[in-house]
Amino acid sequence: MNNYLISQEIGSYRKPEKLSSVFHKIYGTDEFYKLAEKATVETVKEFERVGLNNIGVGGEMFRWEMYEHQANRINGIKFYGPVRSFDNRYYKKGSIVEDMDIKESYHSDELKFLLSQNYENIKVPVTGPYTMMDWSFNEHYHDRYETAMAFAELLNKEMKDLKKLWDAKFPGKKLQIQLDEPATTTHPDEMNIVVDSLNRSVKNIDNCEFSIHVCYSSDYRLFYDVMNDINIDGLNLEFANRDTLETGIEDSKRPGYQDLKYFSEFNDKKKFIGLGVTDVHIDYVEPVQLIKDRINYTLNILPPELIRLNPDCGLRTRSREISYQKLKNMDIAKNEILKEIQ
Amino acid sequence: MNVEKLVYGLYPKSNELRLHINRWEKGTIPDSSLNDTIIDEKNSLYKVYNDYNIVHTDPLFNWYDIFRPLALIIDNMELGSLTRFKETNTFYRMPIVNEINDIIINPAGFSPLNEEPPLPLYLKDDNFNAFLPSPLSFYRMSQVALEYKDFEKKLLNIYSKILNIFKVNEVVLYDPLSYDSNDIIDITPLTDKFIVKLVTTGKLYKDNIKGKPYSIISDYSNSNLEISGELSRVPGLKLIDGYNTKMEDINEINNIINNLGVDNLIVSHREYFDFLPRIIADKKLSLMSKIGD
Repeated sequence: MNNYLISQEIGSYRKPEKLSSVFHKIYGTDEFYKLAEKATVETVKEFERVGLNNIGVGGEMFRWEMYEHQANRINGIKFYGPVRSFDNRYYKKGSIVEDMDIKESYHSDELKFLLSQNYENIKVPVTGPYTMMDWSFNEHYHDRYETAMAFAELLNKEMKDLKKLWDAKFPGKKLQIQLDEPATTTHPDEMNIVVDSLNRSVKNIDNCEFSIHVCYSSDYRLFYDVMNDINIDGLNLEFANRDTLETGIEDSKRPGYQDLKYFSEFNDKKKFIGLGVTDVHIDYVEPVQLIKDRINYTLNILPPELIRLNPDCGLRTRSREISYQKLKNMDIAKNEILKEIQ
Repeated sequence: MNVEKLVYGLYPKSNELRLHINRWEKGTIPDSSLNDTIIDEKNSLYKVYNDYNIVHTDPLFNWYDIFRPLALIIDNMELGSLTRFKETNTFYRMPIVNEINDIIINPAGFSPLNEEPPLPLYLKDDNFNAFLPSPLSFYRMSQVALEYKDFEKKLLNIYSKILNIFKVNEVVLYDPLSYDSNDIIDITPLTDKFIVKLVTTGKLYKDNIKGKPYSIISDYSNSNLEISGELSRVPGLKLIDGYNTKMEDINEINNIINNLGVDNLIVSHREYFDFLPRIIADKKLSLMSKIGD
C-alpha cells in the first residue's frame, strides 16, 4: 500500500511577498539565495503539514518562470525584447542565433540546497526540449527537429550533472525528475519530435524516475498514442480543469477523466498517471467528496499503484492560503480512500 | 513591375505604450490619457510607414486581439475564455456568438470598453486600409450558434457598416487559419463595394474564394501564386516572416519577385508582426521598404 496514491505537487507555488517583490532586483546575490532558501524551507514545511509524499523542489523558489530560467543559462540564445502573450501581458522569447551550449547549470544551486537540508522525497522539474524549442525563435538550426534535439542534448548534460549531485548524497537511490512539456501536443504532426527529443534527453541516465508533465492540451490522446515509445515512467497531467464540479462517479459527472480509459487501453508499459485532482486556475477549493469522486472514478480504470495525486499544474497562480486548502483536501481525500480500500 | 508593400494587423507596442496600458489597467491614469498616447503612438508609426512607402492597416494598439473590440461592439456577441492561438504562450479571448444583430457601440466613438482600451476602432491616415478578421477564421475561432453561411452574411453586413462609418474604401481581411479544399468563403457583399485584400494562410484551392477580391495575398508557392492571379486582380505574396526574428535577405526577396513574371504584386508578411519583439518588427519594416528597389 506504500505506493498507492502517492501525493505530489507539480512545481511552482506562490512565492512569499518578501521574495517575489525583490526577486529580479536581487537575483543571484547572497541576499537572493538567503531569501530563496528561506522561502523553500517555509514551503516544504507547508507541504509537510499538508501531508504530501513528495515535496518537489519546495515550490520553485529559485526560479521565476520555466522558459526564461533555462534560456538565460544557455549560450547561443539572445533576447531582443518581450513578446505579447495576451492582453497587455508579455513574456521573453529568446532567439537561437548560434550553436547552443550550457552557460551555467539550470538547477544545481537549487538541488544543492535541497540536499543540504537532507530532503529525500523530492522531484526536480525541468523544462523539456520540445517546449524549449517551441517557445524559441530559431534563427540558426535547420528545422524544428534539429532545434529540439539540440535542446535535448543540453538537458541530458544538465540532468547528468544533477544526478551526480544526487548520487553523492543518496547513492543507489532513484532521483525523480519531471520534464515539463506544456507544448507537447500543440502541433499534432510533430509527435515524432516529441518522442525523439524526450528519449535523447533521458539517454544513458540510470537510476532515475522520469515523468512528464503536460497541461491544457486539447488532445492527450496524441500523447497516449506514442507514450510507449518514450523512456519515461509516468505522466503527470491536468484533468480537473476539464471536469465538472458536481459530485459523482458516473461518466456524465466526470468528463475530465474519461480519457483515462483510452490511456489504460494503450498503457502497455504500465506507466503511472499523476492525476490532476484540483484546478489551479480557480480559487474554489474543491470539497473532499469531489476529489474522492475523481479518484474513485479513476480507480475503476487503473490500479492504485499506477495513480499518483497532484494539482493540475503549478499552484503559483493561487494564493498560498488557497493552495494550502486545495492540497489539504487532496490529502484528506487520499487518506479516506486508502482506509476504504484496505 | 509595380510592387505594393503591405503591413497588416496587430503591430507590437513600444515599451512606453505597454507601461502606459499597465498604468491604465491599474486605474492610475484615465481613459483619455491612454487614448492620447495611443493616438500619438499610431501617428508616429504612420510616419514611418509613409516614409517607407508602405501601405498599412491601423496597428491596432487598442485591440487586445483580432476579435476583441468587434465582439464587444456587436449585439449578442460576448467574450469567452482565453484560448491558445498559434503558440503555446499566445492567447486570444474566444468570442461567443449567439446571433449577429447590429452594432451597439459606435466604433468611431471614444468608448472605454470592458477589459479593453478605448475605441475608436481605427485611426485613419493617407495610406490606410481597414483591418478585419475574415469570416471563416472568425467562425472557426469562435463558439457560434449559427450556421456558417448565415454567420458569414450577417458578419459581412456588419463589416460594411463599419467601413461606411469610417468612410474607408480599402480593407484587409485576414484569415490566420488554413483552408481545406472544400472550404468556401464568399466575400461578394464586400467586394461589390470595397477594395478587398484577402490575406490567407497555407495552401489555396481554386474553389476556396468567391467574390473576386482586389488581391489574394498568400504564402509563397507557385500554385498559390497561380490561384491568386486567377481569382484576384493583383496577386500577393507573404515574403517576410512575421513569426521569426531572423532577418530576410533583401537580395533573395528581390530576386524572387523579379522572376515571378507579373506586372503588379503586393508583398506582405506571414503572420502579423505582434508575434515579434518591437525592435525586430521595426527592422523588418525597414527591410520591406527596400523591396522592389
